[in-house]
Amino acid sequence: MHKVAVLGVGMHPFGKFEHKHLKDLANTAIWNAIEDAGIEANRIEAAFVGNCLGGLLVGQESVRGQVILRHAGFKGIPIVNVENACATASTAFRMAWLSVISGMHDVVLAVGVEKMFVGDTAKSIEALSTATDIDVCGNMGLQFTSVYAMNIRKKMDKYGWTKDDLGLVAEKNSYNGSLNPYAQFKKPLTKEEVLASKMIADPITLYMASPMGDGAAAAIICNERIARKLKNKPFVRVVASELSSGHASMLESKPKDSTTYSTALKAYEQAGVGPEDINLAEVHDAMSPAELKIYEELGFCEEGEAIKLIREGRTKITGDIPVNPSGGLASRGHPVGATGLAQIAEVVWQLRGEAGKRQVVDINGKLPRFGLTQNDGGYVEGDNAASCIHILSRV
Amino acid sequence: MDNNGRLYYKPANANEKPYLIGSTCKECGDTHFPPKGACPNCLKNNTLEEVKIGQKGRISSYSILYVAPPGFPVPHIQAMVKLEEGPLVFSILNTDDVESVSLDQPVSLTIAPIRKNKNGEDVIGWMYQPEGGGSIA
Ligand SMILES: [Zn+2]
Repeated sequence: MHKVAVLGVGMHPFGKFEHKHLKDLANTAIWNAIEDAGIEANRIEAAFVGNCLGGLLVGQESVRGQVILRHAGFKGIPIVNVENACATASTAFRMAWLSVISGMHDVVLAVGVEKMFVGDTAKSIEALSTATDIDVCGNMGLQFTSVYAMNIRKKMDKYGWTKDDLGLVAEKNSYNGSLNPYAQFKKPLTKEEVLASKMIADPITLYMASPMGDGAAAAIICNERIARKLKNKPFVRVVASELSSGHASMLESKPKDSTTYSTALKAYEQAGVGPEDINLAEVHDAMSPAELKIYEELGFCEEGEAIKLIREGRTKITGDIPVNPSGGLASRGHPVGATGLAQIAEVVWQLRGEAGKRQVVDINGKLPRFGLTQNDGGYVEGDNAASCIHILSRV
Repeated sequence: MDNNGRLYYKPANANEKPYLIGSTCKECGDTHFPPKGACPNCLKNNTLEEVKIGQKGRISSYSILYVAPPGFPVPHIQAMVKLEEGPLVFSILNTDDVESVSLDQPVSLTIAPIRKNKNGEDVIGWMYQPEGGGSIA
């Protein structure tokens, strides 16, 4: 098998951009990634384009990838449209990776883009609820705020999480987001401010929740043979890519029976590392306290010990296992079909030492070597519909 | 699509009881809702039969929603209900007493209007309720 490197990453900031079309958002991310990669754009042989809600929200169906890439100047190359709920962009990245690791292509583009501010909030919220089995969830009124809230309530009851713990996660991530120029929210919040914000789905308050957003993120990946010839930047290798559909119960499974855990185990095996080797992680905290359960499901701690990690500050940028240095979904923002590649971009910047004020280093000032991204999507049969995990390594 | 007769049964008169329509596997005994085309446990064809389920369950978890899209009462409670037969089912709870809802509380099935659609018409579906029920719908 071939080895795969991430040659470049790029983003369009996440936020509210009323006058920008899907094409504009994607164009910025794509060309930022190409410039970062330092290659000629005509070397890109194929593209995987992720978008979730463009059909429902802007009415562009079927050929979104081709429309977006033609705007960005590309014609003739194979283009695949990718949709996998909130895990769309990481799935696009994984498909690009598959096309390179197989030897089929040498240089490939993955991009994720979403436009959620379309002047009709109710329409956007309704579109989100279609990332469920609508027959028995979306049409019955299920909201994603409540999927997360129910899960968090159950864990509070089972493991003694307190409201303070929930607030602490949002405090940490809002501080991280304040250091990220691409973040939608740049105001650091205190735990008290988080808990005092409007209750939206008990026990979730407004400042714990990811906002609606517009944005895009992209990556250029290539066969490592090519990366070795381009000596302009330290290169980052994709050491694991895993994708699963749900097989457990979000509410009732123990952490080690969860879909995230089984997916992570496969990723650790593929990378030849364990959770103790991971130096930082970007995880899917669509409501920031969900981070706590993910600590356990990624094996960063044992069952029931997540609150120790947050209380002791171990997942802060300055901690021994920093989580969501970008600010996570609630602070960086969550334009659904772009999130997975924003996570990957953050890990690439961190591994290359380019993360500015939010740069993670160990106690000896050394840059991180292994970074993990965990991106969930949708809700089917009481579990995540998609679970996508990548591990990247500085070479 | 009318889901009465496909996912649930709405009583035609006061002598009948509502139920959900599930599937059960003749080989492994697993019970599913919504009813499946093949058993996810055995992954074999033609092992399933239709079964009436869901009259009683317990609250696995819930959330009180203070922000909701148009068509929903505010606040209202969303829950995952663990049916006596095994499946976890999403449901809005029919109760006026949002403060007294608790984990593991027993609930029973009713078929009722659960919210209004865009045209202001009732959307009919299943709704679980603690003893006494409510008038939220
Ligand atoms: Zn079976």
